[in-house]
Amino acid sequence: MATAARLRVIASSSDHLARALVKLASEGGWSAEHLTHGEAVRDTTVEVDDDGVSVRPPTALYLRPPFEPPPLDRDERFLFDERLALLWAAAALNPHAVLNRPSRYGLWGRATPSARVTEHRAGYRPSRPEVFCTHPGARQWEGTWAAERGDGIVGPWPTNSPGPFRARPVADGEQYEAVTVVRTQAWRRSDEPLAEFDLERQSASIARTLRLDFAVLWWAIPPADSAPTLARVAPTPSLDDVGRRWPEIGSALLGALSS
Amino acid sequence: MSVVYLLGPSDDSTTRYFAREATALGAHVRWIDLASAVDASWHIDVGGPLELGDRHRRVVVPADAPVYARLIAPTGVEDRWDRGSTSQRLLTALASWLEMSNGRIVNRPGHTLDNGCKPLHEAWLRAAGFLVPPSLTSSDRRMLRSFAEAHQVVVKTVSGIRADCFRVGAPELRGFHPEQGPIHLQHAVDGIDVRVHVVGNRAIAVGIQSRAVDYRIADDAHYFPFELPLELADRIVETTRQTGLTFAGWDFKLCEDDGRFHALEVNPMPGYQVYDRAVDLSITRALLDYFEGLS
Repeated sequence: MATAARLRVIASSSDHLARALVKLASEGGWSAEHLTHGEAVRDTTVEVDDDGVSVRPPTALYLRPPFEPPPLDRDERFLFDERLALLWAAAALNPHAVLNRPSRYGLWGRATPSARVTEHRAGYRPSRPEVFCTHPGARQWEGTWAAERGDGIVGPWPTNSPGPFRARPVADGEQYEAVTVVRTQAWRRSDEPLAEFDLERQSASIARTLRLDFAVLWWAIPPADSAPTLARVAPTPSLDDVGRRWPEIGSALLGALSS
Repeated sequence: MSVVYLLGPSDDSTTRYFAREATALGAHVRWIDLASAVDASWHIDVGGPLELGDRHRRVVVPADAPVYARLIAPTGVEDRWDRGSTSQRLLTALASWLEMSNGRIVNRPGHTLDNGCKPLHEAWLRAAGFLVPPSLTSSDRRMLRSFAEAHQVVVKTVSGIRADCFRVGAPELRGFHPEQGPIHLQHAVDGIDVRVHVVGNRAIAVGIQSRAVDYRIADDAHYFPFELPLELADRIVETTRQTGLTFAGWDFKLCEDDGRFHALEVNPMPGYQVYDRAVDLSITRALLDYFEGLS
Protein backbone atom coordinates (compact mmCIF):
# COMPACT_ATOMS: atom_id res chain seq x y z
CA MET A 1 0.00 0.00 0.00
CA ALA A 2 1.44 3.37 -1.02
CA THR A 3 2.27 5.88 1.72
CA ALA A 4 0.38 9.18 1.60
CA ALA A 5 2.47 12.14 0.49
CA ARG A 6 3.41 14.32 3.46
CA LEU A 7 2.90 18.06 3.60
CA ARG A 8 3.73 20.46 6.41
CA VAL A 9 2.45 24.03 6.24
CA ILE A 10 4.09 26.28 8.84
CA ALA A 11 1.97 29.35 9.43
CA SER A 12 0.15 31.29 12.13
CA SER A 13 -2.97 29.56 13.42
CA SER A 14 -5.14 32.35 11.98
CA ASP A 15 -3.64 32.01 8.48
CA HIS A 16 -6.68 31.20 6.33
CA LEU A 17 -4.70 30.27 3.25
CA ALA A 18 -2.64 27.76 5.23
CA ARG A 19 -5.83 26.23 6.62
CA ALA A 20 -7.45 26.05 3.19
CA LEU A 21 -4.37 24.43 1.65
CA VAL A 22 -4.11 21.78 4.37
CA LYS A 23 -7.84 21.04 4.06
CA LEU A 24 -7.52 20.66 0.29
CA ALA A 25 -4.47 18.42 0.67
CA SER A 26 -6.16 16.20 3.27
CA GLU A 27 -9.20 15.81 1.04
CA GLY A 28 -6.82 14.81 -1.75
CA GLY A 29 -5.28 12.01 0.30
CA TRP A 30 -2.18 13.79 1.60
CA SER A 31 -0.96 13.43 5.15
CA ALA A 32 -1.06 17.18 5.75
CA GLU A 33 -0.56 19.28 8.88
CA HIS A 34 -0.74 22.97 9.72
CA LEU A 35 1.72 23.88 12.49
CA THR A 36 2.59 27.22 14.01
CA HIS A 37 6.23 28.28 13.88
CA GLY A 38 6.67 27.48 17.56
CA GLU A 39 5.21 24.00 17.11
CA ALA A 40 7.17 23.20 13.95
CA VAL A 41 10.55 24.14 15.33
CA ARG A 42 10.35 21.53 18.12
CA ASP A 43 10.92 18.56 15.81
CA THR A 44 12.92 20.33 13.10
CA THR A 45 16.59 19.42 12.81
CA VAL A 46 19.25 20.42 10.30
CA GLU A 47 22.61 18.69 10.22
CA VAL A 48 25.50 19.87 8.03
CA ASP A 49 28.50 17.54 7.89
CA ASP A 50 30.88 15.68 5.60
CA ASP A 51 28.03 13.52 4.31
CA GLY A 52 26.10 16.60 3.17
CA VAL A 53 22.96 18.16 4.59
CA SER A 54 20.12 16.36 6.32
CA VAL A 55 16.79 17.90 7.23
CA ARG A 56 14.18 16.35 9.51
CA PRO A 57 11.28 15.71 9.32
CA PRO A 58 11.26 14.54 5.68
CA THR A 59 8.25 16.30 4.20
CA ALA A 60 7.13 18.69 1.50
CA LEU A 61 6.96 22.15 3.05
CA TYR A 62 5.43 25.58 2.78
CA LEU A 63 6.78 28.14 5.25
CA ARG A 64 4.60 31.26 5.64
CA PRO A 65 5.49 34.41 7.60
CA PRO A 66 4.21 34.70 11.18
CA PHE A 67 1.30 37.17 11.42
CA GLU A 68 2.23 38.15 14.95
CA PRO A 69 4.68 41.07 15.25
CA PRO A 70 8.08 40.17 16.76
CA PRO A 71 7.93 40.23 20.59
CA LEU A 72 9.12 43.39 22.35
CA ASP A 73 10.70 41.44 25.21
CA ARG A 74 14.40 40.92 24.35
CA ASP A 75 14.58 37.25 25.41
CA GLU A 76 11.39 36.38 23.59
CA ARG A 77 12.59 38.28 20.53
CA PHE A 78 15.84 36.30 20.61
CA LEU A 79 13.92 33.02 20.66
CA PHE A 80 11.62 34.25 17.89
CA ASP A 81 14.61 35.04 15.64
CA GLU A 82 16.37 31.77 16.47
CA ARG A 83 13.27 29.73 15.61
CA LEU A 84 12.69 31.53 12.35
CA ALA A 85 16.35 31.06 11.39
CA LEU A 86 16.09 27.28 11.86
CA LEU A 87 12.87 27.11 9.85
CA TRP A 88 14.53 29.21 7.14
CA ALA A 89 17.41 26.69 6.96
CA ALA A 90 15.08 23.69 7.00
CA ALA A 91 12.99 25.09 4.15
CA ALA A 92 15.98 26.23 2.10
CA LEU A 93 17.91 22.95 2.43
CA ASN A 94 14.96 20.53 2.37
CA PRO A 95 15.44 17.84 -0.31
CA HIS A 96 11.65 17.56 -0.73
CA ALA A 97 9.38 19.96 -2.60
CA VAL A 98 9.17 23.41 -1.01
CA LEU A 99 6.80 26.12 -2.12
CA ASN A 100 8.54 29.53 -2.36
CA ARG A 101 11.76 27.90 -1.20
CA PRO A 102 13.76 30.42 0.85
CA SER A 103 17.26 31.12 -0.37
CA ARG A 104 20.46 32.76 0.78
CA TYR A 105 18.79 36.06 -0.13
CA GLY A 106 16.01 35.68 2.42
CA LEU A 107 12.80 34.00 3.42
CA TRP A 108 10.23 35.48 1.08
CA GLY A 109 11.84 35.54 -2.34
CA ARG A 110 13.51 38.68 -3.64
CA ALA A 111 10.54 40.99 -3.09
CA THR A 112 11.19 43.98 -0.79
CA PRO A 113 9.03 46.60 0.99
CA SER A 114 10.09 49.03 -1.75
CA ALA A 115 8.07 48.49 -4.93
CA ARG A 116 10.76 50.23 -6.97
CA VAL A 117 13.54 47.99 -5.67
CA THR A 118 11.38 44.90 -6.22
CA GLU A 119 10.79 45.98 -9.81
CA HIS A 120 14.49 46.62 -10.27
CA ARG A 121 15.33 43.15 -8.97
CA ALA A 122 12.72 41.66 -11.29
CA GLY A 123 14.29 43.46 -14.25
CA TYR A 124 10.99 45.28 -14.78
CA ARG A 125 11.02 48.58 -16.70
CA PRO A 126 9.75 51.23 -16.59
CA SER A 127 9.35 51.93 -12.91
CA ARG A 128 7.40 54.77 -11.27
CA PRO A 129 9.15 57.08 -8.77
CA GLU A 130 8.93 56.15 -5.10
CA VAL A 131 9.43 58.34 -2.05
CA PHE A 132 9.70 57.54 1.66
CA CYS A 133 9.08 60.60 3.81
CA THR A 134 7.95 61.91 7.18
CA HIS A 135 6.29 65.25 6.38
CA PRO A 136 4.65 65.27 2.94
CA GLY A 137 2.61 68.38 3.72
CA ALA A 138 5.77 70.49 3.57
CA ARG A 139 6.22 69.94 -0.18
CA GLN A 140 4.55 70.45 -3.52
CA TRP A 141 3.61 67.20 -5.28
CA GLU A 142 3.00 67.13 -8.99
CA GLY A 143 0.06 64.98 -10.09
CA THR A 144 -1.74 62.39 -7.98
CA TRP A 145 0.08 60.17 -5.52
CA ALA A 146 -0.93 57.14 -3.46
CA ALA A 147 0.63 56.85 -0.03
CA GLU A 148 0.87 54.08 2.51
CA ARG A 149 1.57 54.38 6.23
CA GLY A 150 3.70 51.93 8.15
CA ASP A 151 0.59 49.99 9.12
CA GLY A 152 -0.30 49.49 5.46
CA ILE A 153 -3.23 51.93 5.50
CA VAL A 154 -3.53 54.11 2.41
CA GLY A 155 -4.69 57.63 3.18
CA PRO A 156 -5.25 61.03 1.56
CA TRP A 157 -2.18 62.65 0.06
CA PRO A 158 -0.41 64.90 0.71
CA THR A 159 -1.39 65.08 4.34
CA ASN A 160 -0.31 66.87 7.46
CA SER A 161 -0.80 63.77 9.62
CA PRO A 162 2.40 62.24 11.02
CA GLY A 163 4.26 59.74 8.83
CA PRO A 164 6.37 58.09 7.81
CA PHE A 165 4.84 57.30 4.44
CA ARG A 166 5.78 55.44 1.29
CA ALA A 167 4.32 57.13 -1.77
CA ARG A 168 4.17 56.62 -5.55
CA PRO A 169 2.43 58.58 -8.31
CA VAL A 170 -0.78 57.13 -9.77
CA ALA A 171 -2.76 57.94 -12.90
CA ASP A 172 -6.16 59.53 -12.27
CA GLY A 173 -8.92 56.96 -12.70
CA GLU A 174 -6.67 53.91 -12.98
CA GLN A 175 -8.04 50.49 -12.05
CA TYR A 176 -6.21 47.49 -10.60
CA GLU A 177 -5.97 43.86 -11.65
CA ALA A 178 -4.45 41.02 -9.59
CA VAL A 179 -2.73 38.04 -11.16
CA THR A 180 -1.99 34.93 -9.10
CA VAL A 181 1.04 32.93 -10.22
CA VAL A 182 1.81 29.31 -9.39
CA ARG A 183 5.07 28.56 -11.21
CA THR A 184 4.24 28.75 -14.94
CA GLN A 185 0.47 29.02 -14.46
CA ALA A 186 -1.32 32.31 -13.85
CA TRP A 187 -4.89 33.49 -13.24
CA ARG A 188 -6.34 36.98 -13.47
CA ARG A 189 -8.76 37.93 -10.73
CA SER A 190 -11.26 39.69 -13.01
CA ASP A 191 -12.80 38.91 -16.40
CA GLU A 192 -12.04 42.39 -17.76
CA PRO A 193 -10.95 42.39 -21.43
CA LEU A 194 -7.21 42.74 -20.84
CA ALA A 195 -5.95 39.78 -22.89
CA GLU A 196 -3.92 42.05 -25.19
CA PHE A 197 -1.56 42.87 -22.31
CA ASP A 198 -0.81 39.23 -21.51
CA LEU A 199 -0.55 40.00 -17.80
CA GLU A 200 -0.43 36.29 -16.98
CA ARG A 201 2.78 35.69 -18.93
CA GLN A 202 4.39 38.90 -17.64
CA SER A 203 3.44 38.04 -14.05
CA ALA A 204 4.83 34.49 -14.25
CA SER A 205 8.09 35.83 -15.65
CA ILE A 206 8.46 38.46 -12.91
CA ALA A 207 7.60 35.97 -10.14
CA ARG A 208 10.21 33.53 -11.46
CA THR A 209 12.88 36.25 -11.45
CA LEU A 210 11.96 37.08 -7.85
CA ARG A 211 12.35 33.37 -6.96
CA LEU A 212 8.67 32.96 -6.14
CA ASP A 213 6.64 29.90 -7.12
CA PHE A 214 3.50 31.45 -5.66
CA ALA A 215 2.74 35.17 -5.65
CA VAL A 216 0.06 37.70 -6.44
CA LEU A 217 1.04 40.61 -8.67
CA TRP A 218 -1.07 43.76 -8.76
CA TRP A 219 -1.17 45.78 -11.97
CA ALA A 220 -2.34 49.38 -12.44
CA ILE A 221 -4.55 49.67 -15.51
CA PRO A 222 -4.64 53.27 -16.82
CA PRO A 223 -7.92 54.61 -18.23
CA ALA A 224 -6.34 55.49 -21.59
CA ASP A 225 -4.72 53.13 -24.07
CA SER A 226 -1.35 53.03 -22.34
CA ALA A 227 -0.01 49.73 -21.02
CA PRO A 228 -0.57 48.48 -17.46
CA THR A 229 2.24 49.02 -14.98
CA LEU A 230 3.26 46.78 -12.12
CA ALA A 231 1.96 48.20 -8.82
CA ARG A 232 2.80 45.65 -6.14
CA VAL A 233 4.04 42.11 -5.57
CA ALA A 234 2.63 40.02 -2.70
CA PRO A 235 5.22 37.27 -2.04
CA THR A 236 3.07 35.54 0.60
CA PRO A 237 -0.48 35.94 -0.71
CA SER A 238 -3.51 35.73 1.53
CA LEU A 239 -6.69 33.88 0.63
CA ASP A 240 -8.25 37.29 -0.07
CA ASP A 241 -5.42 38.13 -2.50
CA VAL A 242 -6.08 34.92 -4.42
CA GLY A 243 -9.85 35.46 -4.53
CA ARG A 244 -12.45 33.31 -6.24
CA ARG A 245 -9.95 31.22 -8.22
CA TRP A 246 -8.86 29.39 -5.07
CA PRO A 247 -10.04 25.88 -6.08
CA GLU A 248 -7.88 25.91 -9.24
CA ILE A 249 -5.02 27.71 -7.55
CA GLY A 250 -5.06 25.40 -4.51
CA SER A 251 -4.83 22.39 -6.80
CA ALA A 252 -1.93 23.98 -8.66
CA LEU A 253 -0.16 24.61 -5.34
CA LEU A 254 -0.52 20.93 -4.42
CA GLY A 255 0.80 20.06 -7.87
CA ALA A 256 3.86 22.22 -7.22
CA LEU A 257 4.33 20.59 -3.81
CA SER A 258 4.24 17.09 -5.28
CA SER A 259 6.79 17.71 -8.02
CA MET B 1 39.68 63.49 -1.15
CA SER B 2 35.93 63.61 -1.92
CA VAL B 3 33.14 63.49 0.65
CA VAL B 4 32.23 60.09 2.13
CA TYR B 5 28.79 59.89 3.74
CA LEU B 6 28.52 57.73 6.84
CA LEU B 7 25.11 56.31 7.81
CA GLY B 8 25.14 54.75 11.26
CA PRO B 9 23.97 55.28 14.84
CA SER B 10 26.22 57.04 17.35
CA ASP B 11 25.89 54.12 19.78
CA ASP B 12 27.60 51.82 17.28
CA SER B 13 31.32 51.68 18.09
CA THR B 14 32.33 50.82 14.51
CA THR B 15 30.45 53.85 13.16
CA ARG B 16 32.22 56.10 15.65
CA TYR B 17 35.57 54.46 14.88
CA PHE B 18 35.28 55.00 11.12
CA ALA B 19 34.21 58.63 11.61
CA ARG B 20 37.23 59.30 13.80
CA GLU B 21 39.96 57.36 11.95
CA ALA B 22 38.86 58.18 8.42
CA THR B 23 38.82 61.87 9.37
CA ALA B 24 42.27 61.53 10.91
CA LEU B 25 43.48 60.02 7.63
CA GLY B 26 42.28 63.11 5.77
CA ALA B 27 38.86 61.97 4.53
CA HIS B 28 35.95 64.38 4.51
CA VAL B 29 33.33 62.34 6.39
CA ARG B 30 29.75 63.59 6.65
CA TRP B 31 28.10 61.50 9.33
CA ILE B 32 24.33 61.08 9.49
CA ASP B 33 23.63 59.77 12.97
CA LEU B 34 20.71 57.34 12.72
CA ALA B 35 19.96 57.85 16.42
CA SER B 36 19.07 61.49 15.65
CA ALA B 37 17.56 60.76 12.25
CA VAL B 38 14.78 58.67 13.80
CA ASP B 39 13.37 61.87 15.34
CA ALA B 40 14.19 64.13 12.38
CA SER B 41 12.29 64.71 9.17
CA TRP B 42 13.39 62.89 6.05
CA HIS B 43 12.53 62.70 2.39
CA ILE B 44 14.08 59.78 0.55
CA ASP B 45 13.61 59.58 -3.19
CA VAL B 46 14.51 56.03 -4.25
CA GLY B 47 16.80 56.57 -7.23
CA GLY B 48 17.14 60.30 -6.43
CA PRO B 49 18.59 62.36 -3.57
CA LEU B 50 18.22 61.62 0.12
CA GLU B 51 17.40 64.45 2.53
CA LEU B 52 17.45 64.37 6.30
CA GLY B 53 17.25 67.22 8.73
CA ASP B 54 15.97 68.92 11.82
CA ARG B 55 15.77 72.54 12.97
CA HIS B 56 19.55 72.79 13.22
CA ARG B 57 20.93 70.86 10.29
CA ARG B 58 19.87 69.56 6.90
CA VAL B 59 21.88 67.06 4.82
CA VAL B 60 21.28 66.21 1.17
CA VAL B 61 23.04 63.11 -0.13
CA PRO B 62 23.28 62.96 -3.93
CA ALA B 63 22.24 59.73 -5.68
CA ASP B 64 25.84 59.08 -6.78
CA ALA B 65 27.57 59.76 -3.45
CA PRO B 66 29.93 57.25 -1.80
CA VAL B 67 28.31 55.89 1.37
CA TYR B 68 29.52 53.68 4.21
CA ALA B 69 26.29 52.32 5.69
CA ARG B 70 25.79 50.56 8.98
CA LEU B 71 22.01 50.25 9.03
CA ILE B 72 21.47 49.35 12.66
CA ALA B 73 18.52 50.44 14.79
CA PRO B 74 19.76 52.75 17.58
CA THR B 75 19.84 51.12 21.02
CA GLY B 76 16.60 51.39 22.97
CA VAL B 77 14.54 52.44 19.99
CA GLU B 78 12.39 49.32 20.25
CA ASP B 79 11.34 50.21 23.79
CA ARG B 80 8.77 52.64 22.45
CA TRP B 81 6.52 51.23 19.76
CA ASP B 82 6.15 54.44 17.71
CA ARG B 83 9.91 55.12 17.64
CA GLY B 84 10.63 51.47 16.88
CA SER B 85 8.20 51.56 14.00
CA THR B 86 9.64 54.83 12.64
CA SER B 87 13.16 53.47 12.99
CA GLN B 88 12.24 50.32 11.07
CA ARG B 89 10.62 52.41 8.35
CA LEU B 90 13.71 54.64 8.12
CA LEU B 91 16.03 51.64 7.80
CA THR B 92 13.81 50.18 5.07
CA ALA B 93 13.83 53.51 3.23
CA LEU B 94 17.61 53.85 3.52
CA ALA B 95 18.20 50.27 2.36
CA SER B 96 15.95 50.89 -0.65
CA TRP B 97 17.75 54.12 -1.47
CA LEU B 98 21.20 52.53 -1.11
CA GLU B 99 20.30 49.60 -3.35
CA MET B 100 19.22 51.94 -6.15
CA SER B 101 21.98 54.52 -5.69
CA ASN B 102 24.64 55.05 -8.37
CA GLY B 103 27.48 55.65 -5.93
CA ARG B 104 30.09 53.43 -4.32
CA ILE B 105 28.23 51.81 -1.42
CA VAL B 106 29.56 49.68 1.43
CA ASN B 107 27.64 47.38 1.49
CA ARG B 108 24.97 47.76 -1.15
CA PRO B 109 21.75 46.02 0.02
CA GLY B 110 20.61 43.14 -2.14
CA HIS B 111 23.51 40.90 -1.15
CA THR B 112 23.03 37.46 0.42
CA LEU B 113 21.64 37.38 3.97
CA ASP B 114 22.41 33.85 5.08
CA ASN B 115 24.80 34.94 7.82
CA GLY B 116 21.52 35.26 9.71
CA CYS B 117 20.82 31.56 9.20
CA LYS B 118 23.90 29.61 10.30
CA PRO B 119 23.02 26.11 8.97
CA LEU B 120 22.32 27.54 5.53
CA HIS B 121 25.44 29.73 5.72
CA GLU B 122 27.62 26.77 6.62
CA ALA B 123 26.09 24.59 3.89
CA TRP B 124 26.87 27.33 1.39
CA LEU B 125 30.48 27.70 2.64
CA ARG B 126 30.96 23.97 2.17
CA ALA B 127 29.46 24.09 -1.31
CA ALA B 128 31.84 26.96 -2.12
CA GLY B 129 34.76 24.63 -1.33
CA PHE B 130 35.70 25.71 2.18
CA LEU B 131 36.42 23.36 5.04
CA VAL B 132 33.64 23.91 7.61
CA PRO B 133 33.22 22.16 11.00
CA PRO B 134 30.12 19.89 11.07
CA SER B 135 27.08 21.27 12.88
CA LEU B 136 23.72 20.23 14.27
CA THR B 137 20.80 22.62 14.81
CA SER B 138 17.90 21.20 16.74
CA SER B 139 15.60 21.29 19.76
CA ASP B 140 15.86 17.51 20.17
CA ARG B 141 17.69 16.89 23.46
CA ARG B 142 18.64 13.33 22.56
CA MET B 143 20.23 14.36 19.26
CA LEU B 144 21.99 17.34 20.81
CA ARG B 145 23.43 15.22 23.60
CA SER B 146 24.54 12.53 21.19
CA PHE B 147 26.30 15.13 19.03
CA ALA B 148 28.02 16.64 22.07
CA GLU B 149 29.06 13.23 23.38
CA ALA B 150 30.83 12.32 20.14
CA HIS B 151 32.80 15.58 19.76
CA GLN B 152 34.03 18.66 21.53
CA VAL B 153 31.45 21.24 20.50
CA VAL B 154 30.74 24.94 20.77
CA VAL B 155 27.30 26.53 20.91
CA LYS B 156 26.41 29.54 18.75
CA THR B 157 23.29 31.42 17.81
CA VAL B 158 21.30 30.12 14.84
CA SER B 159 20.37 33.60 13.64
CA GLY B 160 22.59 36.62 13.07
CA ILE B 161 22.24 37.94 16.60
CA ARG B 162 25.59 38.71 18.19
CA ALA B 163 26.19 36.42 21.18
CA ASP B 164 29.16 34.86 22.91
CA CYS B 165 30.35 31.47 21.72
CA PHE B 166 31.24 28.86 24.35
CA ARG B 167 31.97 25.16 24.73
CA VAL B 168 29.24 22.88 25.98
CA GLY B 169 29.32 19.22 27.03
CA ALA B 170 26.65 16.53 26.90
CA PRO B 171 25.97 16.71 30.67
CA GLU B 172 25.10 20.39 30.41
CA LEU B 173 22.41 19.54 27.84
CA ARG B 174 20.65 17.17 30.23
CA GLY B 175 18.32 19.89 31.50
CA PHE B 176 17.56 21.30 28.06
CA HIS B 177 13.88 21.52 27.08
CA PRO B 178 12.73 21.84 23.46
CA GLU B 179 10.85 25.05 24.38
CA GLN B 180 14.26 26.68 25.03
CA GLY B 181 15.54 25.87 21.57
CA PRO B 182 16.73 25.53 19.00
CA ILE B 183 20.47 25.26 19.63
CA HIS B 184 23.24 25.39 17.05
CA LEU B 185 26.17 23.10 17.97
CA GLN B 186 29.36 22.95 15.93
CA HIS B 187 32.51 20.87 16.25
CA ALA B 188 35.17 22.81 18.11
CA VAL B 189 38.46 23.45 16.33
CA ASP B 190 41.59 24.11 18.36
CA GLY B 191 44.06 26.64 16.99
CA ILE B 192 44.52 30.32 16.42
CA ASP B 193 41.74 32.48 15.02
CA VAL B 194 42.27 34.27 11.73
CA ARG B 195 40.05 37.15 10.72
CA VAL B 196 40.21 38.28 7.10
CA HIS B 197 38.63 41.53 5.96
CA VAL B 198 37.92 41.81 2.29
CA VAL B 199 37.54 45.29 0.84
CA GLY B 200 36.91 45.13 -2.90
CA ASN B 201 39.79 43.06 -4.28
CA ARG B 202 41.98 43.25 -1.17
CA ALA B 203 42.20 40.74 1.68
CA ILE B 204 43.71 41.93 4.98
CA ALA B 205 44.32 39.19 7.55
CA VAL B 206 44.79 39.37 11.31
CA GLY B 207 45.75 36.45 13.57
CA ILE B 208 44.40 36.22 17.11
CA GLN B 209 46.09 34.22 19.83
CA SER B 210 44.01 33.52 22.92
CA ARG B 211 43.36 30.72 25.38
CA ALA B 212 39.63 31.55 25.34
CA VAL B 213 37.02 29.83 23.17
CA ASP B 214 35.66 33.25 22.16
CA TYR B 215 38.60 35.65 21.94
CA ARG B 216 36.23 38.62 21.58
CA ILE B 217 35.40 38.46 25.27
CA ALA B 218 38.86 37.40 26.47
CA ASP B 219 41.39 39.67 28.12
CA ASP B 220 44.39 37.67 26.82
CA ALA B 221 43.69 38.13 23.08
CA HIS B 222 46.75 39.13 21.08
CA TYR B 223 46.11 40.51 17.59
CA PHE B 224 48.86 40.46 14.94
CA PRO B 225 49.21 40.88 11.15
CA PHE B 226 48.84 37.51 9.44
CA GLU B 227 50.06 36.40 6.03
CA LEU B 228 47.34 34.43 4.28
CA PRO B 229 48.20 31.85 1.60
CA LEU B 230 47.71 33.56 -1.75
CA GLU B 231 45.37 30.91 -3.11
CA LEU B 232 43.08 31.25 -0.09
CA ALA B 233 43.15 35.06 -0.24
CA ASP B 234 42.15 34.98 -3.93
CA ARG B 235 39.36 32.51 -3.24
CA ILE B 236 38.00 34.62 -0.38
CA VAL B 237 38.01 37.78 -2.50
CA GLU B 238 36.23 36.03 -5.36
CA THR B 239 33.65 34.38 -3.10
CA THR B 240 32.96 37.72 -1.38
CA ARG B 241 32.36 39.32 -4.76
CA GLN B 242 29.91 36.55 -5.69
CA THR B 243 27.85 37.22 -2.56
CA GLY B 244 27.37 40.85 -3.61
CA LEU B 245 29.51 42.22 -0.76
CA THR B 246 32.26 44.82 -1.08
CA PHE B 247 33.29 44.65 2.57
CA ALA B 248 33.17 41.43 4.59
CA GLY B 249 34.80 39.87 7.64
CA TRP B 250 35.72 36.18 7.31
CA ASP B 251 36.36 34.10 10.43
CA PHE B 252 38.66 31.07 10.28
CA LYS B 253 40.31 28.72 12.73
CA LEU B 254 43.79 27.57 11.72
CA CYS B 255 43.58 24.04 13.10
CA GLU B 256 46.58 23.03 15.20
CA ASP B 257 45.97 19.34 14.38
CA ASP B 258 45.73 19.41 10.59
CA GLY B 259 47.23 22.84 9.78
CA ARG B 260 44.22 23.74 7.62
CA PHE B 261 41.92 26.75 7.61
CA HIS B 262 38.39 25.95 8.81
CA ALA B 263 35.82 28.57 7.80
CA LEU B 264 33.36 29.64 10.48
CA GLU B 265 31.42 32.51 8.93
CA VAL B 266 31.38 35.56 6.68
CA ASN B 267 30.14 38.71 8.41
CA PRO B 268 28.41 41.13 6.01
CA MET B 269 28.67 44.11 8.39
CA PRO B 270 31.94 43.59 10.21
CA GLY B 271 32.83 45.44 13.37
CA TYR B 272 36.44 45.85 12.31
CA GLN B 273 38.12 48.32 14.62
CA VAL B 274 40.14 45.96 16.85
CA TYR B 275 41.62 44.25 13.78
CA ASP B 276 42.32 47.56 12.06
CA ARG B 277 44.54 48.67 14.93
CA ALA B 278 46.67 45.52 14.48
CA VAL B 279 47.34 46.33 10.82
CA ASP B 280 48.04 50.06 11.11
CA LEU B 281 44.56 51.11 9.90
CA SER B 282 44.94 49.15 6.64
CA ILE B 283 41.23 48.32 6.62
CA THR B 284 40.11 51.93 6.98
CA ARG B 285 42.63 52.93 4.31
CA ALA B 286 41.29 50.21 1.99
CA LEU B 287 37.73 51.46 2.54
CA LEU B 288 38.76 55.02 1.69
CA ASP B 289 40.60 53.77 -1.41
CA TYR B 290 37.43 51.98 -2.45
CA PHE B 291 35.33 55.12 -2.02
CA GLU B 292 37.89 57.05 -4.08
CA GLY B 293 37.66 54.45 -6.86
CA LEU B 294 41.23 53.28 -6.27
CA SER B 295 40.36 49.62 -5.66
